Amino acid sequence: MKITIDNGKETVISLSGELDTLTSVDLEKEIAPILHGEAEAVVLNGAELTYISSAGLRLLLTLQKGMKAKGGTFRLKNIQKDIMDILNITGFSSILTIE
Amino acid sequence: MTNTLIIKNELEQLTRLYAFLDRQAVTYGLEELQLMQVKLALEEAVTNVILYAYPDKKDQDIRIDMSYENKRLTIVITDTGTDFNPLERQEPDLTLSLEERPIGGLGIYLVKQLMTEVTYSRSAGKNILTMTKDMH
Repeated sequence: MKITIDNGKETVISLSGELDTLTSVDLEKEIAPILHGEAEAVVLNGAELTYISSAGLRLLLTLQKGMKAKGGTFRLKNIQKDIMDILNITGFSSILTIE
Repeated sequence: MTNTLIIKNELEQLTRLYAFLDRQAVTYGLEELQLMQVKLALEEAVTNVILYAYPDKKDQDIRIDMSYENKRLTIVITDTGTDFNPLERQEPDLTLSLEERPIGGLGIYLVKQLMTEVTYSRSAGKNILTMTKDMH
């Protein structure tokens, strides 16, 4: 999986490929500095995200809770249909902000 | 015909599992969405075994048998670890708000949702999880 991070007041995380148990470990390492950094809004761009397992879902929850705790926002955009189905099955679509 | 993969109880071994499934999916002619759903169920079920079946023990075997007949995919995951029925785990409450929702506990729920049937049995000191998915 490829992780691209564009830091700023609005930080954009672009994921390309598969967010599984193993690649989630890589993303988790990137999340902590973002949550402790200057970002007031974090956007996850899922245009090229093709797969997500529960380990990845857990990180979405971490981002959502972490940003909310510091008074910021977290939202997802360009989520593909197959991934959206997983978010719906797990009820994540109702607790995350998805554009 | 059944194809078999035996992996050790380490998360790094998941890459072998993914490769095994990819090969079988080509043989079976699975569609992209079907493959994605099966991969997710398989990853969740096997990760569960890797993390919990053998507490504090390394170099233990996990066996995955896969077959495809009459448009039905059957996957059997066998381990000789501690007696544990993952299907008895309490299902996550999907209606909980963000603050109330515990992080985790979704894996087996996903397995049940994505596969047609999932059964567990304990026999001769083995945990046997059987998952089937009808491909129509």
